[in-house]
Amino acid sequence: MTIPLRTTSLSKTYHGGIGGKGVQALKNVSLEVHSGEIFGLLGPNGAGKTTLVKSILNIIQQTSGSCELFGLPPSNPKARQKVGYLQENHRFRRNMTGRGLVTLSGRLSGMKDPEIRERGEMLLEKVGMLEWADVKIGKYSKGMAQRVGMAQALIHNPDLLILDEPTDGVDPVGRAEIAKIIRDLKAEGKTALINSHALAEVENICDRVAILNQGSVLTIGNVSDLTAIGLEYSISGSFAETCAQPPAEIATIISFSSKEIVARVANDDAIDSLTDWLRGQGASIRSLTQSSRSLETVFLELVENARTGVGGIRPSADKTQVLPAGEER
Amino acid sequence: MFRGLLLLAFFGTVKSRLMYLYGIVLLVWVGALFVINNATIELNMASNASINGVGAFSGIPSLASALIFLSVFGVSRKIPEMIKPTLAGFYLSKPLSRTGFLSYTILANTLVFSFLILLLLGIYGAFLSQLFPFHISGAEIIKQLFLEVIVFVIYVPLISFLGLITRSGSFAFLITFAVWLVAKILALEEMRGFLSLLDNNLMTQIADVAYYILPRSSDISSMLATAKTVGSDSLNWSALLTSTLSAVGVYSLAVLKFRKMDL
Repeated sequence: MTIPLRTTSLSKTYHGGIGGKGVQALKNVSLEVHSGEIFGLLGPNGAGKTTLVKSILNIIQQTSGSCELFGLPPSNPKARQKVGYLQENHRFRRNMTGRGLVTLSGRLSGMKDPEIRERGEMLLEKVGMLEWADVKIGKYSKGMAQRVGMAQALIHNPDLLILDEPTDGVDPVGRAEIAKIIRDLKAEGKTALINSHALAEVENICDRVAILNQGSVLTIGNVSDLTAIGLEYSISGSFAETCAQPPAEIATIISFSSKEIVARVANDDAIDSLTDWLRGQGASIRSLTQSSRSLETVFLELVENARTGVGGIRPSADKTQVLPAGEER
Repeated sequence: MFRGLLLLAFFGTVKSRLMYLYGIVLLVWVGALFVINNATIELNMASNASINGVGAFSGIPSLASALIFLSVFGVSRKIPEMIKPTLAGFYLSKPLSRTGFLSYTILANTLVFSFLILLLLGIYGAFLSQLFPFHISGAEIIKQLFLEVIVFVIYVPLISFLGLITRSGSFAFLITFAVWLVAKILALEEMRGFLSLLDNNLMTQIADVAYYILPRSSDISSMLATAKTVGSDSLNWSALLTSTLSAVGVYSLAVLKFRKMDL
């Protein structure tokens, strides 16, 4: 199957005009968005996220490297036939109605009017804007404009949806609805690239994320992998005092109480040894979960490390308070 | 896709405040016709018309100039509006090449504004024919109407190109107005005389080149009148030819520029 989106060493330098200093907005960005996944693009302001999205859609031209949409260069209109796009900070014509915008989007995507009418109604209802469809966009709140923007991006049933700050200005109810729409699209096998500052939402919706900083990719990975804290586990159950000091070659206890133990195991296989040893000490284990941090913590650490020149993700245990055995957290 | 852009251009224009100005201009000209008619100067008009058939529809070029002015103003805003960073992504993410998008946009706006000019001039022409039925040939009016529309059409690529490079409707309009003014001055017989007085070969050559490169709106607009004045049955098409070539050249520049633009 053709990969919906692939960039290879994509770079973009904005020239500063005569005598001006150019700004390198993207530096050798290589990433792939696989079919059926929700991919998040994260980064601080000025990281190059919007430049990357615009390069992907040929709205700006890359300086070097390449980009492919379904195996075709984005300058090829056929490549964009399968793409729906919601722009950041869009300002659609104020004297146009929501329905008019959706219809225009459909027409520009090559759809016939009866199909546009049918699908437009369904989408306007889906984004909760059917009641307001015949009101001029100039009278919409930002959240309403975003919802209509979602409908216009989806009108031609695209296989790849590119959303630049889709929940910007949308109230919590609207955010939840947009998140649901994205999840529904995933269930239909669609692919989405989401550029967002709303890290909690990205963490909940996205399968994989790329974190950009100063035009470079700091990391790409599954959300669960990025937020997992390596060899740290939280074990709940019922524990005797003797469980507080396992052999050093198996694990180190980070925190201990009679109901929960947080431990760092010596290696990937040691978790089995630890549970066996705990049972041997008379413990009753109810659950075992790998400790994780929020995506926001990971994001802040990565950006801070990039700023200070420290490479990689700092081990999260450094931030975890180590308590003496027997002391409750 | 073209249909989408055509309807967008049509409804965008019809719903704009510019339509009030079109209405006011038409009312002023039609009102002037009635005033002239009621002032019982038919005899003078008739004598003028019989001497020179052009005189009877001299109101058309002046109305056309006003309508072209408004239309150029209207078109000047279209391209900069569509390439605004807050809207460009919407259009450029659609499955349409940049050349196609620009060409369709220019064509759609040209058709819409040409239709408006033709419609309003037609309404005026209908009044004119009713009020002065003996002195004006319908065929002559129709030919003149089309020439006025051509004058507008040859300016559209220029204003679109200027809109692309300045990204401002106001700047594009002002520069186009300046171009129109220069072309108008260069077309004056007095200017020819003035340049010959200067005895500066370089200046004369620059003026000659500019005269043929810039849209020759005055010459096109007065093609019929000139033919009648010199008593010739055939029209001099050179103004139309050079202006069309110039418009095609500017359109090509606009396409080349747009294909490489970051929006």
